Amino acid sequence: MDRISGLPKVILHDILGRLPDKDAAKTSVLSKAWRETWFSFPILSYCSRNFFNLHGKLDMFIQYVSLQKLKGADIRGIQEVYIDAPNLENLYYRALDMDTPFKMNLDSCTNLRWLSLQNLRSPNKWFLEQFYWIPFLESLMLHNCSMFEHERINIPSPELKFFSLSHCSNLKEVNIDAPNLLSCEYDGKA
Amino acid sequence: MSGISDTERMITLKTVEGTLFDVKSSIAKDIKTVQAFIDDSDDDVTSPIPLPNVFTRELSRILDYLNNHHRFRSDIEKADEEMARYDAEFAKSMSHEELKALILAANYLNVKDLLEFLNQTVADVIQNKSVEFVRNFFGIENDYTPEEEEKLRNENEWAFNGVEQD
Repeated sequence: MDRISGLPKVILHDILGRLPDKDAAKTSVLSKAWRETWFSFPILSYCSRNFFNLHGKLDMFIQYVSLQKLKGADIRGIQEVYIDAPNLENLYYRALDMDTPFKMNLDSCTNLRWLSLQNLRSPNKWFLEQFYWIPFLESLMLHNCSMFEHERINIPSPELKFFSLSHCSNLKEVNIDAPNLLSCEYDGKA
Repeated sequence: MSGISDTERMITLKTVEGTLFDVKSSIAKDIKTVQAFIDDSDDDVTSPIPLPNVFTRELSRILDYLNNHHRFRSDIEKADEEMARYDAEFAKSMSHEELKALILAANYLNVKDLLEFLNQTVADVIQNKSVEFVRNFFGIENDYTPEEEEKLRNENEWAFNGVEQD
């Protein structure tokens, strides 16, 4: 319950989801509790049973998204993403810009097949470790990612068929261990 | 389903004030909290079902809405048009306080369609309105200092262009 307006948070979120971005953003100025509501607002009202779009505001944090049936997600600009969706197959994630730090945890998304990441700065350790628990990954796209700490990336992915790497700076070496690879694209301009 | 009986089973609901409402079981199905109560009862529900969080005014409105929507749905041809007209009237007939009270009741009773409609009504009311209007609508106390508020407004400056007069 939001003690101020008397309406439960789930209702406030639903109402925010029905507002144009502009009006939804304005609610952060209403009061401190509403600022929290705005930050904890996952726009899930817009999601269908198996797909959702998450287009974040500047400093928005998604605490936790748990959706058993979710198959696809399009997430932009959210700084912290924890997705618990064992059936997720497609994930598109784009950071706002490369100066914004981000955190992502997709540990339970073991069925990912299609992963596209954009504008990531220094996708460090976790990023490299992700590939070990995505056994079925078929398509991987990295665009405009700056491999600050890791000049070398290893991509061991038995099912990988499509790999695309474009505009990733600081990257010196890519080791791809993908016996089923059909297509590999590389565009080196940073 | 059809033709078995003309006299549909009735369910009795009891509000906070003790007012009793007789409701067709087909309508009760749309009130998930009531339906769950019925499903959990081994025998036929004969005594009134108490609704400790729902007041007479709200329940009467909700039943009105559900009865009308059931009626519209039985006439496929005119359903959409009449429903839209009814919904618009329904939304207009409520004060802001009544709207909020109805949302709480619809939420408690878990009447999904109505709740969505009411939430949309709220969104329509507060859309493009000033922060002050929205504060007033929800009865929100502003707990920012003027400096904090100014800072936030600046951070979200894009959102404050083209606000309607209240």
